[in-house]
Amino acid sequence: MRDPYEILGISPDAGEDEIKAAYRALTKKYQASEYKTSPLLDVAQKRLQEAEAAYHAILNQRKSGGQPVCAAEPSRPQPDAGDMGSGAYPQIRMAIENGELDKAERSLNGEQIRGAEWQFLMGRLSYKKGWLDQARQHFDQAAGMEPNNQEYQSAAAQMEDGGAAAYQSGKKKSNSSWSSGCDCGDGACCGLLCGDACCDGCDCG
Amino acid sequence: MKSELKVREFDQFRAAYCGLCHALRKEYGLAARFILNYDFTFLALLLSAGEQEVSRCRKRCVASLHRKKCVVLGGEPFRRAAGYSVILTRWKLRDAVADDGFVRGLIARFGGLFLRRAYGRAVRDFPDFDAHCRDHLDALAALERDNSGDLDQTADTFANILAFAAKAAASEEDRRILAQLLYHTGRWIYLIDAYDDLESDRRSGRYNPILARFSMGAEEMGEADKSWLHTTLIHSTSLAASAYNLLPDGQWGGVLENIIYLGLPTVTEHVLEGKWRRRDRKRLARKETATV
Repeated sequence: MRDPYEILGISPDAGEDEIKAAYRALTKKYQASEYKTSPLLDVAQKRLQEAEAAYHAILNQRKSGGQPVCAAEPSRPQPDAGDMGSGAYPQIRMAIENGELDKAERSLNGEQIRGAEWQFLMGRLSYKKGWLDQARQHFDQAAGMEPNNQEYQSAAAQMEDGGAAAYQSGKKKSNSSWSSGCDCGDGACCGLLCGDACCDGCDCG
Repeated sequence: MKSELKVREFDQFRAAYCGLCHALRKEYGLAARFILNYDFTFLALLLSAGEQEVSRCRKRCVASLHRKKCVVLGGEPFRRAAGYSVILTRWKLRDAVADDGFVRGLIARFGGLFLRRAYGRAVRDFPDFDAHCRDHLDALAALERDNSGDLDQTADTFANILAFAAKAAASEEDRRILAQLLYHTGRWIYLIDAYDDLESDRRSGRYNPILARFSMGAEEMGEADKSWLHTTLIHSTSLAASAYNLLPDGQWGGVLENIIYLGLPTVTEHVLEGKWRRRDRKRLARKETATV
């Protein structure tokens, strides 16, 4: 079990405001909309649960004055199956969300009738593979065939946006301790900053 | 984006560059050193993403022997990046022998000979990457022969070469994150290169995936197609960024964030606006190495 302070990226003597701010920043990061459709959704959800557990563990510990106790390891969340369609589609949808992409692709290619839902699922499959050019074409098709379907419309809109949300929500601060000095024992070595004067002009290669 | 880098981060990048240079020399001999470039340094940094410890040392530089430089002792990620770089260069040279005219083909052939020993050692260290690289480049060559207009499939074949490097990750979860990061970086590199070469490929009749997909060159391409291409490129960079965000903060955070958040989108804009030709890029790289 990891140290809850380490999970939140703060020191054990951090103030309450700092703890809250760190927790909020992490929640915002892992709840970002781009993970909702990402193949890494489960990882983002797990990180979110870890952050929540760490935050509550610290708060409880401070209230009671004892050691922080982290909640048990969060279980892997089950993917949301979304709006179930008809026929073979619910199973294909499930396979895509579970990451069984080959199986889903075989099933989809076996379907004779290729309506809006087929286009949508092909879009989801392509997206999960990272085939963004095709994903966008399929989502556009699905949205065009059923202009009133909210799910298809928002999938098409997300592609048009190019996942730009990642650049607004993400950006974490780095906690590099790069300038902390030398870590090789003999005197010939130096940390980067203290040796800056002699480091100027690296053009090796 | 060099101008956006803080002094500390620029030093980091430079030390990584020198670190890879030394790793190439140590593992694969003198000849291997000459393949060093910024792209391979970026690969070394990606493989080191999330690393908590970075040790560094001052070493003599082969290009200016009288001075000692601060060099990263990158350990396993840098060793791996060095081996992969040698293997990638060898296969790139083979493709150049097949594709290019007699003179350039001859140069590539000599390059291949020059690298032969280094390549042999890299294959010994990473035989599975070598096989993986060969298979995927063969598949890519087959797609090129068919003049495939399937942008995703050609880019996928290339991107999977890089994504392979994620298998060294410590846990299954890290492997999936790193694979997604490398995949979308690779997809972006393949497509941005294709757009950069679009006009010269169209004139010389060489295969180009974007030409095959849209059936036109950069100059006659309409705004709608250009914007479509722009979106798919930016989408890959943002998927790479969101994968990167799931990795633990590491020592390379500053410089990697700079490349992923600022570098990749800016290069995308420049290339699509036609302000970034390969020749300029080479001149720029030369200028930078000369001045730093």
